[in-house]
Amino acid sequence: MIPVAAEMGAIEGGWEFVIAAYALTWSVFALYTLSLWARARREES
Amino acid sequence: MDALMDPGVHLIGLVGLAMTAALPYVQQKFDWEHPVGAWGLIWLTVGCALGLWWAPKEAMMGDVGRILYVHVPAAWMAMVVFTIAFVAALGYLFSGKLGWDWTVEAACEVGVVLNGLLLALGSIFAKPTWNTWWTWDPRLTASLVMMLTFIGVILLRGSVRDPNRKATWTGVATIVAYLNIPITYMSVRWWASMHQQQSTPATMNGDMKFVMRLCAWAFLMIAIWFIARRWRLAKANAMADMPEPLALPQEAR
Repeated sequence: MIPVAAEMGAIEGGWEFVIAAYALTWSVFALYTLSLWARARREES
Repeated sequence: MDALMDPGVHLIGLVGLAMTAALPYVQQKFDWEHPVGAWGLIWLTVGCALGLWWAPKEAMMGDVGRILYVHVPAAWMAMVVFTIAFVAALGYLFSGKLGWDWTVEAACEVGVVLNGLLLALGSIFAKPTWNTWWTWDPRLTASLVMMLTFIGVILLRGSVRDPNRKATWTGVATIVAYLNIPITYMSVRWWASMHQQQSTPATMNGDMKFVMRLCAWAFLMIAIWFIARRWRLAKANAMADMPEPLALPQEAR
């Protein structure tokens, strides 16, 4: 469920977006590290 | 907490950088960037844990505000890394040394990765706060243009074979692409934007500021590790592409 700003202005909930953001950050770093490692190995061989 | 941690996090960062810089000279076992990357990973782990479970809720955005601890460092480091590319481009154009050119190649690619992460995180942030995944807001549009122009630099570089021409064209294109960075940074002040203006240390809660700076240091160290590894790859590729030295004719030896 998407939290919407209440009339008072504060947003309730939204943990799924927080978890998605942190997971995406770690995933991007992991994938780019993997890409660098794979390209370095290809260059060595 | 604020008085204790505010200078403390910068001290931790500086000491960490100094230690990691000194370590390879002592042990001669690692490339210098590996300890930097390791510190970055440790601090990112700590920063994410604190951002998720320790930092207070943001007053208006509630728990969604915790996205700031990865979104803002991604934005800062994308701009820092593009600035490294810009300085390296000037370095190559003035000196002609290929080491600068490899730095441009590395920084452009790492900057695009961080810029892409920034846009994706911004989109995740926008949905619960603005009720949309994307809008053609000045800040968002400028950030997208920033990524596309540097992708253009990378594509241009890939289309040129001659090493010197490749480096010169890349340097010039990087400088042109960099012109958009100040525009992106200032876009929230120059135009009416849904995106908030830059916060200052004075406007942030002390605990939130501590986590933000810890994550920023972590992103910086990981970005340095990425650039250094990519630089080595660029160097290896350049060496492999260089023609074999031609043997002199017998009579000229």
